[in-house]
Amino acid sequence: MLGSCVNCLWSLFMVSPKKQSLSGVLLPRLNKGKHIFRRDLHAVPAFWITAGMLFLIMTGLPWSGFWGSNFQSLATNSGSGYPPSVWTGSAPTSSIKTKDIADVPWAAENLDVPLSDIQGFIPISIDDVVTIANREGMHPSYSINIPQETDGVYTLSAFPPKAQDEATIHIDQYSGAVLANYRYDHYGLIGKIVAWGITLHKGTQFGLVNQIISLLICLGIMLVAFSGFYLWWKRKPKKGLGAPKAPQIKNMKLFLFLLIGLGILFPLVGLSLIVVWLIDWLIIKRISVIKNFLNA
Amino acid sequence: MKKTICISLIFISSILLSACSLEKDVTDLYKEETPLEAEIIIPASFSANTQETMKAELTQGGKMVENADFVHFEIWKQDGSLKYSMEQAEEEGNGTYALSKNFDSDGLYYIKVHASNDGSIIMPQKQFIVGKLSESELKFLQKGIRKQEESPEHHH
Repeated sequence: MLGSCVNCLWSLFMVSPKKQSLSGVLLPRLNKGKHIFRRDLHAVPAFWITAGMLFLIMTGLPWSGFWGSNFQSLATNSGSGYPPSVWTGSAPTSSIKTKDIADVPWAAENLDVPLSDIQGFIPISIDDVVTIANREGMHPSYSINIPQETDGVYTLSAFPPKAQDEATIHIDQYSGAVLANYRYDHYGLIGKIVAWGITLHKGTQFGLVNQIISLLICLGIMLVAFSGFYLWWKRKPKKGLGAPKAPQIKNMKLFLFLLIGLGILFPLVGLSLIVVWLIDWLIIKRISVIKNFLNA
Repeated sequence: MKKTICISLIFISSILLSACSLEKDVTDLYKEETPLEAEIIIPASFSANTQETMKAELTQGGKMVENADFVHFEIWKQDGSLKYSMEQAEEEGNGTYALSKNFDSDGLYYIKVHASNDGSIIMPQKQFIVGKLSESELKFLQKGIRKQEESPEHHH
């Protein structure tokens, strides 16, 4: 996913016209012959698709595993993200003390536990939880997390099609008290933006229209990928890959800074870049067959 | 040059990696609830043909709850042979609400306190034993099924 982000920027770099004319970037040139048209078949849609693709990437990032969970934690810690436990962070715990919870006797013949230990709080039933959910006006798509620990809570969470309907409720498993009740309105600004991003990304926020736009972006990405391959296939020399000779990185200061910047912002991209650089330095540069084939 | 890039990348990614835990009091930054809390007090022992008093002590946000919106007690027997309808408990002051009842029959009982104050509604329930348990009640307890037979929810 991030690879595509970096790729987009690299491509924008390549097509940025050296002369002033923007045809060949914004519009295809139909009267300049087959070669130019082939190139424009890739570059022109790619330029337009990039916006949609970047949107999908930016709205997908906050719920990705590594980058997303770090981002969510930072946002939540700052007070402007999702409230804790909606995305990251643990649920509250029951306020009932362990000693007040009813014990279960286990011996077959008689009561092996003192009476006072059996006389205690017992968890509310799932029916009670449903009653509470209805009372609090949960969106009907909610799911229930049943407590696994003695001090755990029932967690009701709903992530319905529209971001505004989202809700997370924690219920004390013994008293039925609502310990936390987080709605979209209680999200911080970043949390609200991320929530909208997710429902737009999934195509549920605006239903069919939303999904058709996503489909068009998706088809566009496929077109760009295939036309890119076609472009290379038609242009490549009989021998070798036909990759251009890499310019000295010292001559591309702006690009280098962009690369480092992205590597820092997205540490896994940075890590991958280091690995690629190591492969280049340790293998490709040292074995002449590979070096010649890749034109490195 | 490449070495510096390498070192700074590793340095910064380690900062990012260590930033992934939530702060302890982060809940203060978001909307908070002040749930009602109840302590249900059951007599240490029950004797036949005497009124026994069940009590609920209500607190909210660390304070005793006076004039709660409502405090109702619901009492029933596990085997279904006895069911008291929901009754309003009497306020005794200091956040204590009480109800007296006669417990003639031995066995496993449940008490459920329905209470509400200042937007928080709770329904904690406790199990208690009057006299001796019957064999089936003992088995029921030993099964470890914390769920009682069909909670009487007729008040809705």
